[in-house]
Amino acid sequence: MTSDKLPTPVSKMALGFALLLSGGCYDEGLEIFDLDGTITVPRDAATREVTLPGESPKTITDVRLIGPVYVGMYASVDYNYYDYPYPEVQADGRVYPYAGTSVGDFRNACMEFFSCRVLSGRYENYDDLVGWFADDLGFTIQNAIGDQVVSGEQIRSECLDLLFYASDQEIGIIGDLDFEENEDGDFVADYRIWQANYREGASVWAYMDPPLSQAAGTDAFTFSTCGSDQGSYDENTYDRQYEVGSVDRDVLNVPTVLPGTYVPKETYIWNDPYALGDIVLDFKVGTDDVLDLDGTEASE
Amino acid sequence: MKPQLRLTTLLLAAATLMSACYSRYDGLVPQRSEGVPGISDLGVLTPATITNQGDLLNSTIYGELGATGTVFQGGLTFSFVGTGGDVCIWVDPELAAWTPYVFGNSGVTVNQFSWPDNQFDDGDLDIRGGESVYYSGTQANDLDSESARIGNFEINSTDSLGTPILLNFDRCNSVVAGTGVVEDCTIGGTLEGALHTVVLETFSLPIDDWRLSYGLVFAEGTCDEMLATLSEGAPVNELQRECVILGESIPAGEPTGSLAADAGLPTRTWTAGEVPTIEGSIDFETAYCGAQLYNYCQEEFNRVTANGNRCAWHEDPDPAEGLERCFCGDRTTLPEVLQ
Repeated sequence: MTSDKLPTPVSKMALGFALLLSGGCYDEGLEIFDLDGTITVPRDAATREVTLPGESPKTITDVRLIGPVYVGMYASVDYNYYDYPYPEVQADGRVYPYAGTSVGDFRNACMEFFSCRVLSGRYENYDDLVGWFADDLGFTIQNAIGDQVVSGEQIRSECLDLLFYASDQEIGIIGDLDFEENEDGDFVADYRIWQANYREGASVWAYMDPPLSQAAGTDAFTFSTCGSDQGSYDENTYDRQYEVGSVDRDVLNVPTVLPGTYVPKETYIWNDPYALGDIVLDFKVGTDDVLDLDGTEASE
Repeated sequence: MKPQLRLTTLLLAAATLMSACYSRYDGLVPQRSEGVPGISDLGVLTPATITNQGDLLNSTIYGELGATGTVFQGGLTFSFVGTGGDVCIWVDPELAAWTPYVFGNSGVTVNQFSWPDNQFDDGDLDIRGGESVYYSGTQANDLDSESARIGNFEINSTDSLGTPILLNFDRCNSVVAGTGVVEDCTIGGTLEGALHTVVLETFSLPIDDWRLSYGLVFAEGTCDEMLATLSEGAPVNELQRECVILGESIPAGEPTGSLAADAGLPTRTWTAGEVPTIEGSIDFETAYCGAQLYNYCQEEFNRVTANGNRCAWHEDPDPAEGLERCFCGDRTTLPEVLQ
């Protein structure tokens, strides 16, 4: 190279920028991927018989009856431990998920009545929330000073005041629904497990925690995976004193699967990091039946 | 200089520098107190049957732990043979701690926690326990054995896809209550005939003297059952738990109790009948349990100043210098408006 072809300061800078920019595209070789897929829950899981005072029992099918769905990625899933599919249990009794997520999170709806009853992705607006519990399920909802809650705006203003939030997005209760009814009458939601270490052959398993029945009295329509003593906090502001309730810490490490919970008969095996992991919760724990997804039961 | 000689010189210089770095850690960790074990083992204990306060007193073991003088964590261990039933480990580390209430007192309303704590006399022991086969540490006294180590109940393993996982067989997994606070663990359904190990790890030592005294009860049944028996079914709040074991604050330099030694317990342990409790510490604990701290601290301050003395917050204050030990903290450390 002759001296008149040596890089000028400007070209050196350009070269430097080019190197910097190319750094952003560098493939670090990390085998970390997001796993996207769908969860299908049977219509049966969104259906309950409810009796309102002075009325005959009625059957309700509603997306708001779909509890939180916990999705975990495990070394394997089989029938070695229980009479339903369950992740591989290690010698210390834990199942050591590689990664996981949930479809629906417990939310603070700013009144004691709602503790462990409200999930994200189940209500399009606050009136839905009030209408569901008051009109469809027959509860009387009261705020901290004992006034009956009859409109969604009461909840919204209570939350904006209590949580010092400035928007509905921050409160995180209302928005697009997670689950949509498909043509078969079942309910389908998207999920994403963020930043999972790719393990070829890993099994993706999930379970839906159904709401407690009307017979549970004061706990009716709460969820068994919601605890008031783990990661929760005491709301203690003026006249509002209650445990907010939050998800139990071991929902994926030591899943407690109660009768009536839905799990997949077949897990999704992660053999391609770019494939979609679709899961169908077609096994109702506590029964020997596998649900086909038109809402009826077909024996295994 | 010949190349070989140059290399040797460089290696020697490197070795010298490395040893200099190594020796410097001595100044970064608390040093041993003479005669006080950093790691102590109580041997094999039998869980006591507790039906009343007398049973509790008779079964309480008092002891003292110091710094290991190394970077390794210290603590106390003991073993027991599983019966198939539940056992309760209840430990009360010296002494009692709280965070001062900083909103101030108003008019006739006095918050009992508005006086600061003496932060220099509190330590912390954390409980772990499980089957001895999983325990990675030793069960020895570091005054006798340099290789004595506090361990854990973690085992390396792999799942069916070959992924390394660390299994944890600690049956007291979540017992970390904090400085100066009682900690308890119920090991439910012990494995009959199997040896179990309990570890009380020294998480922190009191910074006044690097000696942590404690009271320990090891009993049959669950800790909730033990509490319910002692309180005759009445509810026991968090503060009252501090008074299940009283008098665990022990002055420095006390010889091992003769009854404890006769019972085969190691150095620096005492039974309830012989424990040399620091004078006044039981009154302090009682005030804490009854949420009467402000009154206690105010009286302590008044008494000390009436004697023409000042409070000292460290071990063994010198009376000749006009210092008296205080269990409550230094009020002048609070913001001026709260003093």
